Amino acid sequence: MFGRSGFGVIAVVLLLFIMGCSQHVSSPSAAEEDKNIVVAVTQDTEADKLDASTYNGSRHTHAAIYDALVDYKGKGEFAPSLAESWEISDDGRTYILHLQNQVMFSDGSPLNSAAVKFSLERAVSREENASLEISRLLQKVEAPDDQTVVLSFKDTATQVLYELSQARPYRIMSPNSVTPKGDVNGTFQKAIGTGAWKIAEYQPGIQTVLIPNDHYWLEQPSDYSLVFKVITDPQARVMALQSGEVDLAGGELGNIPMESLPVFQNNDNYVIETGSSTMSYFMVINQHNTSLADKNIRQAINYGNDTSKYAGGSGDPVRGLFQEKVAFISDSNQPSYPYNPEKAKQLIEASGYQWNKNKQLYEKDGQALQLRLVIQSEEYPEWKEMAEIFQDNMKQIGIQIHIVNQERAAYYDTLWSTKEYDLLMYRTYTDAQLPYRFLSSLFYDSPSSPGVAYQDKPLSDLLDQIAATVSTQQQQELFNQVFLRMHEEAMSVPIYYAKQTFVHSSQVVDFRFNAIEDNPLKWHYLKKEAK
Amino acid sequence: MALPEERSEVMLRSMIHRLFMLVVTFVLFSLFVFTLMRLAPGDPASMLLLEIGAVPEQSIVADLQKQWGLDQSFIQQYLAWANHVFQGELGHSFSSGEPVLSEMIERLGSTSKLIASSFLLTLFISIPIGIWMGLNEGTMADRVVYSMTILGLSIPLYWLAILLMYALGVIWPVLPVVGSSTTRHYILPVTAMTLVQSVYFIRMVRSYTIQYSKFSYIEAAKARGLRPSIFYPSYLLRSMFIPILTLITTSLPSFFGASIITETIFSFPGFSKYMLEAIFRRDFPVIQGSALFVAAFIFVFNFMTDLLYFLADPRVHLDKQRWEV
Amino acid sequence: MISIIRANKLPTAALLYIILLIITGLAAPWISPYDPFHTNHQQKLLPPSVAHPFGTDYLGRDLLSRVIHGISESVFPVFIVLSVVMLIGLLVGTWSAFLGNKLDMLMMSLTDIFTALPSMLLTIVVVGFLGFGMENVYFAVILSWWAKYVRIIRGLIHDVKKEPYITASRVSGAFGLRIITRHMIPNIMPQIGTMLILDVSKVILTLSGLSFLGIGAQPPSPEWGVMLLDGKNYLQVAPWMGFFPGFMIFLTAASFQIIGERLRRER
Repeated sequence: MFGRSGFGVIAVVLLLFIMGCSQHVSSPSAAEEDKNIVVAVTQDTEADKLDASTYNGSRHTHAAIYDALVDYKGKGEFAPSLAESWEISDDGRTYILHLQNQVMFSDGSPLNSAAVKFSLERAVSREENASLEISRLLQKVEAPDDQTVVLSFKDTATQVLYELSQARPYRIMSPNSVTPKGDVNGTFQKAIGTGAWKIAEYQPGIQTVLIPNDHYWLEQPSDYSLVFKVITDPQARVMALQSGEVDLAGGELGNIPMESLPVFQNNDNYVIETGSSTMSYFMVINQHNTSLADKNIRQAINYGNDTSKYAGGSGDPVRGLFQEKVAFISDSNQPSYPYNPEKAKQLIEASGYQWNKNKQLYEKDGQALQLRLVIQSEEYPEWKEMAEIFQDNMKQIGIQIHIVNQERAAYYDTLWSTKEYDLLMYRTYTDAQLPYRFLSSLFYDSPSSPGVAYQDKPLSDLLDQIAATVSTQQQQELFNQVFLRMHEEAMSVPIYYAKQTFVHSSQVVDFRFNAIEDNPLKWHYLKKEAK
Repeated sequence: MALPEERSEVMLRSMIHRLFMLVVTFVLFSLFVFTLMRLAPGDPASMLLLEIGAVPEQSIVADLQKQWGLDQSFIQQYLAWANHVFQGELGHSFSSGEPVLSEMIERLGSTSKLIASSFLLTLFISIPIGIWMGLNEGTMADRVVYSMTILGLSIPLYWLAILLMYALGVIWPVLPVVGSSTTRHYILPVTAMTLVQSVYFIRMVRSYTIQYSKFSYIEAAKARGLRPSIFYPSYLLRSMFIPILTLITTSLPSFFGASIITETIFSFPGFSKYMLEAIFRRDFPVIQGSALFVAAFIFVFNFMTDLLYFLADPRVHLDKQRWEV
Repeated sequence: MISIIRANKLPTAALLYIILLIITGLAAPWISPYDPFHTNHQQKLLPPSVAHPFGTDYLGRDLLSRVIHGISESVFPVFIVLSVVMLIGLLVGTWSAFLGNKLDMLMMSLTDIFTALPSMLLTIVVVGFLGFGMENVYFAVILSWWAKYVRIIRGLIHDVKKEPYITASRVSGAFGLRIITRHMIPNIMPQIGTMLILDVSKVILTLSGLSFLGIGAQPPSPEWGVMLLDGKNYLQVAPWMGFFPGFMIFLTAASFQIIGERLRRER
């Protein structure tokens, strides 16, 4: 046997070896680094599978590489993108799109109606898109000439422009992206789009490098390479920003936890950018719980909910379910419940509950008023804190809340199948720019698919009407009624209006937000200036 | 004492027996994992749809389940999967559609480097230090290192990792914080894992040393004039060989567990993180495939150490009459 | 008496600490300066001060009070979990070592399976299946740990079997149970004791790690492991949030180990 000293020698040698290795590895030279803008992302982009007609890969990368036919401008309005103009028939069944001239894909092939027809048909053929309106209702796509596309639908289609503007699956991909070329069912080879970027390099789980598309039609392409670096742990992202390994992080794609922001505030080396969002957090109410079936209690919970306390009061004032940036929302059409604990208590007592002084709770027939709140903290760590604040809010009005923090899959299982909750913390989606889609997924109630978040016939009827209405003005009136109904029945408990927060080094300049969160920044404007 | 021919025959017989048990264990294990996953709440089809932002509508969910064979009975599913495994195929991931085997292999590189280096470093550091401490029990140096190990045992891995990151990545930026591209990237993660694991090892080895140095034959050797400083440790080591080996084999899974946390925090594109995320997503083929792989590794490792037991102590037979001296 | 204390200053201090800890834990409702669940948004994230010796957390709750109330949730259950694991280990390990051959091999396969199982998966399933409640979490932890003890105890018994005094006692007519309880187990207790003591902090930390997944103590429970996990997010902004629960875990683990060391040397 060697004896102890032998081991010691080997240990030292090993250590020296490891240290020696590190000397030989060269870090990128200063000149190289300057031309890279490194962005921290939570998830791998899956760039080798980035087929525009699928949900594969991160949607932010989809939006960077592929353009949409129309762009969402905000407040329910659409701006031309690849389609420079369009006409919609009065019955909402025919859409005629006129494409921009002389737009090229990143491989030089032209953007024409054949490419659009290919992309749309491919997307419609895929099963996972089946619930979208375009997939459900599209009858045929015609390309009468190179610059015109005609979409014919089986029934009135009101969500078409909206769905076309999303990051996926209806963005336009070159027919050369698949083999055999132009085959709707072809095998995906390479992501070729008209967007400002194309994929240069992909290391799975590590990083994706995007380089500018020289044929970019809209504006001057960037001078830089864009590197999406995968960093899964939130603290690690913060530290990567501090150590300079990453130039920019935030938003949904690489979120910076709120509690870490003080690190970057009052610090000249960093800039914090805040943008508006369409995502809001709220509580889903299980109306089958006997207490919650009573409207007084639902309203009491709303009155007792002090929303200014969430996230250290950094959120915007909360009204109804949707943020102001969401289409069809105005200052006045989303009535809400102001914070009024006294009123809350009155309502509870009006329903026959008595105050138990010892327990500091309301009771009826010996049963305390208690509710089970299910949350998850994997995808949204801030929910844990918010749930505790909510628990505290409710304690003030005599309702006892039991928080159950479930693992992600169990949480979704609870929401979608077992329904073992009284309250459940949830959020509106970032692609809820037009509220119809979100409302129909969660609040639409029919015998075949009961409403997940709430079941209310008048509401479902209103949603049906919206689906059949083409005129925006008429839709607006219907939505007003929708929001009014949701408020009167206290169908949910709005909690917080999220914001988009990005942090970047002060060397990065010309930061501009985009209109939709799935495409958060105008990446091609970013530049780096040495200090 | 058996004759040489008889002995090798016995050895062969017991090896076959042992191998047979290995296979049985393997099968039982896979059955276990299979069952566990189907008992867990949450369903893979809904999880996939939710992840891509689609609504888990019943019809789509049902279709997906059919596609993945989840609508068949438990036995059917298991047999189908087992059949594939025999043909060397581990199926395709539910979320990416790629073959599980190739995805696993892609990621094994960084994980194995991580685990191997911290494993070896732990052994190289802990065994000498542990023995030395055990022999010098009660001295000032022993006490100092002892208190340091207590500290080490009280810090969870994720905290240590973040502290190291903060200290050496931010405050005094000498090392990269994320990624696994260069060897330098491995220093922080390996250090974190090694520190956490070696404190445990050091203490156990120390405890064994103290205990075993009191054993009769050691005392006898000392009485015979064996000089402590030179031969003592190696003599001791020979007798502690088996318990230390047991310690190593039972600790191997904890290295895997530690690598899961480490890979998540340092953003290593590794195998352990891959398995963890699959568990969250209920990606059955990936979970089964990777659990099988880890189990295979551990079982084979155990088997080899059992062989070492056998070689180390001739009185031990591999299977039969283990306890008869 | 005094001379004993003087000779063992450190272990006595440790023992006193543990006793104090237990008493404080039991007397928490009367001793703690504030209500550990009382939130106060004006006073969040305050550094340690006279009014709040341990500072406040992200909801303005007094950390000292939370630490005190956390004793009963973080320390007491650990005893129970480890006792159960040790009992199982002793029973099964010794039984397996003695009844030998086929049963032993079966047990070894079983332990192999359990050690190779990803404990995270096991815990998710157990909790998912049995529902919430800390008892189920403890059950899941016990399930993940028993195999290790069985394996190690069996290995230790194997060694001890060869000792001359065992053969001697067999020669003198003692058999079976007597040998086991009188001779073998007391001789392997030191190693097992060390392992148990080391595992005190490990179990506390495991429970904390489960909070990583959302399983484990639910808010607003002041369990130390959960507080430690919360503190990680505030490392740069409010380091005391993680420091104090961590320090308590350290003190507790250290005291157990010091006492354990001393007891071992006693033999």
